[in-house]
Amino acid sequence: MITPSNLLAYTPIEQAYLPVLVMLVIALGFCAVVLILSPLIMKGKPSDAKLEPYECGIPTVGTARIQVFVRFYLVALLFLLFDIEIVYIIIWALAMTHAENAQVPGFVAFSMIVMVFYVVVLLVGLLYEWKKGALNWN
Amino acid sequence: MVRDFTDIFGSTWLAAAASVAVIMAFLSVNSLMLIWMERKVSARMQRRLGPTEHGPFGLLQTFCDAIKLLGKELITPRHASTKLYLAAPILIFAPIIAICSLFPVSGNWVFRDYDIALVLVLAFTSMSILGIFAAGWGSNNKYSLLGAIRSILQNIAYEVPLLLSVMAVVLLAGSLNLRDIAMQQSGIPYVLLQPLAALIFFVAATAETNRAPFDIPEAESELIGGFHTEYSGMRFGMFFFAEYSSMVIVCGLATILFLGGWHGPVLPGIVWFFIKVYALIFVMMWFRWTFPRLRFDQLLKFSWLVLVPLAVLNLLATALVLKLL
Repeated sequence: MITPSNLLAYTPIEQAYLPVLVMLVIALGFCAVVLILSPLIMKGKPSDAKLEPYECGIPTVGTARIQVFVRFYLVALLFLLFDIEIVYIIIWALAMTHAENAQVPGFVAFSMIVMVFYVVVLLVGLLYEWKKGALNWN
Repeated sequence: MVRDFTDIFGSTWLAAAASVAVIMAFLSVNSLMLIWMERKVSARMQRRLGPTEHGPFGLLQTFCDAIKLLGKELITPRHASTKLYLAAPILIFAPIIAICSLFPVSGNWVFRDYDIALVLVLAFTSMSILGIFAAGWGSNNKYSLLGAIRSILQNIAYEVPLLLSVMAVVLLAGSLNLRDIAMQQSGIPYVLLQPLAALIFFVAATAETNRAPFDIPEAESELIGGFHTEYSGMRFGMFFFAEYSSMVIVCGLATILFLGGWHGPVLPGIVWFFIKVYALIFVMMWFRWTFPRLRFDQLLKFSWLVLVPLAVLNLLATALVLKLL
């Protein structure tokens, strides 16, 4: 059975990263407590007008559940590509600087060439998306 | 070797409790002081006096504001998605506490010393996007949704150059451990070796915190309050605290990555760390009264067509120079 006391000594990985989880849980709990206590200090007096969505005082028109413009998705797609690239770059950067790897003949040159190729492909993709007008918002 | 609070206290739970107490005390006082500082700086730059009434130099003004905020009525709009609406302030604020626990303020002054602290910090920073979208969608208000969409798009657009510029530092330091990175700058801070990366990082960080000139997500004249239009009382207070705390976080990260963390002559390390952080925050406030607000398409183009290619080239150049020398 997992209890808080033996979870800390469970396996090395959990032991290593559990404190961050502990921290996050305590942080979430703290914020939740503040927000739960707050209404106890001041009781709300809701009225019809107060509960309407705020639109500068005029009666609400239509719904707020609008469709998101398709161009936003194009930029989000671009972000996904580059974010995955960065996950790869983190590992590459660490491997490049690792002392043992530097002694392997041809390792640095090879990883440099691979990375340049990879980045050029991505930048060409970015250029293509630009030429297609994904970043033109006029 | 004593590396962090966990070693000092001998127990993860004790260290976590102590860290949360210290961080919360610091963040709440710090946010109030930063709001005061923002008002004073703005006022002085416009040849006004700013707050003067409460306490010396009006220092207690924001404390009074916070107490007033506590007493404000909490309203949940009728058509809001209640769960998302209530979860949003927590989702935005909680990661900030977790991030603060990873910052080495001085030597072994850190909750827990991680080898991948940098990745953890960057991962937690992106968590705020979830909170922003929960707030925008949950409020069921047009201004909130528009503000949230703009905010998310801006955040993801500027996250790429931010991460790329950080990677140049990782190449130099050969480590993702924030303490190691700061340790290696005891001689020369990385801002001298990586001026371009430092510049890109700071511009992207300003955009990530939604500060002027990148403040269209909450452009008051168009979108009222942006994604937190519908929030009141302490729920709004959470967003406000989160905004100023995230300034401390990006400036703290910039201090560790580029300005050598706690290294400096004469004064103790922790003092140097906060001097650097607050100097950077002052520069951010200075930006606000120097640059006009960018239009949305200009903002996206600037990120994708200027910052991203520059950061990529800087990264490759760094790798080449490092390996050839």
